[in-house]
Amino acid sequence: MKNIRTYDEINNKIESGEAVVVTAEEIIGIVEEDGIKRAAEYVDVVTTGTFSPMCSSGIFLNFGHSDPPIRMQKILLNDVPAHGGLAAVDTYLGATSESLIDQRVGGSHVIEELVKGREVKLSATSKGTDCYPRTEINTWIDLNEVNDAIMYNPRNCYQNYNVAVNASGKSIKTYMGTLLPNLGNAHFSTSGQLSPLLNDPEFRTIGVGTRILLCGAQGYVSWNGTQHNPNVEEVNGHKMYFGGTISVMGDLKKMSPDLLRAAYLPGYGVSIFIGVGVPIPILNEDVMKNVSVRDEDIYTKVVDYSIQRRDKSVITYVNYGDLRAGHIEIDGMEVRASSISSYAKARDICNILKKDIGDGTFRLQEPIQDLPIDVKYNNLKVK
Amino acid sequence: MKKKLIITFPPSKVENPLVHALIKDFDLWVNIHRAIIEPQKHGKIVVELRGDEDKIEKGIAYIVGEGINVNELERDVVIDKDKCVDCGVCTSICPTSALNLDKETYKIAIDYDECVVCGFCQETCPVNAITVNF
Repeated sequence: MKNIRTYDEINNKIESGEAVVVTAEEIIGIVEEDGIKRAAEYVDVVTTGTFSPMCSSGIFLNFGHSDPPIRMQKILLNDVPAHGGLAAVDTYLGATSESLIDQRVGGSHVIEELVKGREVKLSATSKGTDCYPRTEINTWIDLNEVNDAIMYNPRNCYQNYNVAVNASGKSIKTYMGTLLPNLGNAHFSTSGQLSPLLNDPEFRTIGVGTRILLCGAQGYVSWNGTQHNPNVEEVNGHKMYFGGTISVMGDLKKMSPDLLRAAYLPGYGVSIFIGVGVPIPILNEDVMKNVSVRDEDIYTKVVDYSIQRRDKSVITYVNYGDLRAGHIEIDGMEVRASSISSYAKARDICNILKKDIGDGTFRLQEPIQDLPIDVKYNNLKVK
Repeated sequence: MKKKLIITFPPSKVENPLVHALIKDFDLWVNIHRAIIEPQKHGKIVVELRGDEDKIEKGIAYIVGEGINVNELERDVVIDKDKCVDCGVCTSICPTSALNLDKETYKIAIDYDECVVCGFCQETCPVNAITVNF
């Protein structure tokens, strides 16, 4: 497939204010009217976005040294444990780390407090050494005072998550929300036709180094995500892509509390809503074909979450057109469906990214390394 | 005309025949959606009234005159729009489909005609955006 344009050409047009940028929703109508070939000739960039709970997220912090200094070993931020095995004053705070005093609150709430500019309580203890004699510290920090606050999310933007239902006789509380008994409801979690990894399902443009919008700030795809395992199956004549993930990073100090939000899933635990925007450069017609994907053409698996085993069988396949409309059919039964992923915010992110590219403040970055496609996926054996 | 109300009464007024009065004296159709009445505690009823507008007004005035608090649902079932992220998780939990995502904007709205103040949405909301005062 011959390329129509290069990253350099796109960036030159961005600089001169001439780039044609549309969202992943707008491109659907454009392709319906003009066709793939014609649309690919004049559209330079399509913006994609998602705003969903992404549990595998967190931040690195560096506090700077106190006097006398401490080599922190046990660290608590607002009573939420953070990692104490990173030298003297570095730490990693995971979003799902639970508060020791209130399990409805955790790392994600601390992260949200920091982004909102509020103070957070820091408590740390240490065995003490000759060069780090201090054994205890209790103080308050905020985002301006810390040296570094780097968001690094090991697994984000899971490509095409399952639809969760509950076929048992009682309600269950899961990371996919509260699932009502006897197929009482169905929850899904993706922005579908706006989703970054469903608009570039074969990772032709998204790779290590791709510049993204992460919680409102410019960030990067840093690597493939953990458990990255891209797959494709055929369902109803459509390719169903699933399983890919990306890890992402960015500067927390530049992020917006509008596009990052702590969450508590009742009966399950703490999580965090992460907003990610990814621009797709229209390099050729294949890329245009992929970005014009519509909700009704994207299929996913419906899985029974009442099965408390790793492998849960697929009950049926549904498309995002039906899910978005609020009802799916399972065994002749109409089941109410709702999303945990905010379509409204995903749209906002697509529009913010479109504006930033249009303003010339966001340039596209060609990946410096492709993401692997052929990946072996392991389960954990109990030996 | 129809109106949905949350009526809150202090322990001393538990014996007041509220519903009887609304029906008999004000000629109103009354449907009780939810009621919690416990000894020595404030009682709460979610009630739907139907009838002539002026009779509903008079019925409400009577209740208030008895020293009993009356609130429209809109005041007691509230979505904090600054906290709400419009994820939509509440919509499939709501037993009466009172919570829905707008088909154009994909933002959440409550249809107070359908709401029965069950509080499932408040429990389910991952960002604590919904308050149900009941």
